Amino acid sequence: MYDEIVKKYYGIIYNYCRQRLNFSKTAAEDVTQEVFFILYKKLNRLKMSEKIGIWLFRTADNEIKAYIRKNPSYIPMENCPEEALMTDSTFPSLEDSDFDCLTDEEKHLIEDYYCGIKSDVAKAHNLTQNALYIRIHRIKGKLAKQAVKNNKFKT
Amino acid sequence: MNELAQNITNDRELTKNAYQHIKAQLDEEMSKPVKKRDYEKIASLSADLCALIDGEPETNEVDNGINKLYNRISEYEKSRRKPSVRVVRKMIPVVCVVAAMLVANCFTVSAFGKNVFSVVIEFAQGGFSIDFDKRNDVIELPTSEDDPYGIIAECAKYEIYPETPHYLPDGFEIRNVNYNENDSFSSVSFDFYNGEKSISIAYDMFTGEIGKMGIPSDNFNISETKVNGHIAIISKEDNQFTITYQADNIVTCIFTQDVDYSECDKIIASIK
Repeated sequence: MYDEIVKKYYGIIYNYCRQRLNFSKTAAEDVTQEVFFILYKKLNRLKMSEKIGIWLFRTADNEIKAYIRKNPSYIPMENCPEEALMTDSTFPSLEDSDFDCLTDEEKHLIEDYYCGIKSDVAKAHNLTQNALYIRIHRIKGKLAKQAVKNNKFKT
Repeated sequence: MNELAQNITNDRELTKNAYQHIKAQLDEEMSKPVKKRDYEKIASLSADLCALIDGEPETNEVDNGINKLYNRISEYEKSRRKPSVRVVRKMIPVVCVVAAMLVANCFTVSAFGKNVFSVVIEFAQGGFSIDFDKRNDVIELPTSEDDPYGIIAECAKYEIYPETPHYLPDGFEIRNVNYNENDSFSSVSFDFYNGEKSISIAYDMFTGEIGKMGIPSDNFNISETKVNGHIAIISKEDNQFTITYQADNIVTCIFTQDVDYSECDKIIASIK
């Protein structure tokens, strides 16, 4: 029972803690560990009819608060860390050969996104708007890496 | 391809726009009352945000975390299986009493034909129980009239001289005392428990300037009061109560879980 819960929910709670703790991996890991350790100690006393997922989220909320209380110098930011949002501002210039690293599907998607009507792209590719953003973000990351690699090779 | 490359390079706002788009949905869900939140949606949006910040997801982080968790559980189980010296010490008087009762029983049965254990059994049926597991966790700090919970004496060990509550509701026992120190501050915290109810009292003594303090809150149900002339901020939500204030170079934070707010007020009023 416990193993199944850990397998199903560990990653979910870890991501939840990360976004609430300013994307700090260390803080999120500490809190997630605590949540599942509490679960282990309380497993026999918990009614399994209760939705275990909700219990985990509520416990994570409490543990996040406890973490912030015990680390007074830690200030959770409501906004995303600026550095993480600045990745687009240092994007390298691209050449045709850089696009070779993409699959056909990725090429179609990024072409549609940047050269088509943005509002229809998600629907056309059977994606949610959030999923579309993430896919484009990843494709851009792939292209940036390839561009840097190709530039190095040339020099 | 040139136009596409140009458009991609010129788009400097993708990550920011995507972040704001997803975060707005998450904030909307999180602003709902706890019982009305869609946690599946929250999980999905949290994963989206992490994916956006990290680029490619790192599955190793989760696997490593799970391994670490099982190691911790394994250590915990080992320590639970070790016989505790405290338990053995606590058991000695119990064993002695049982032995004395056996002798007394033999005497009363032979002399009066009455079994003394019926009294003991009734007593047991009346609800007498010993929870060795819990009692093992209780810490006993030396107390005095001016220091009813031992907080002042414990803090003095670390050269921290804070204001302390002189009232806590009945039934609370101290289970944890933690001390931490780094370059900018040292802190002592005390955790009291009464079943699922808890009271944490933490003191952070800063060596330099006191910067911003993080006070966790979902609902921002915040009010202001005064404690011994110092401005204090109170947050009340989800049966939780937090009060934080600064006196000289010490920041005091008292946090309660599932304690009546009227009792919390009494705790605050007793601080001196």
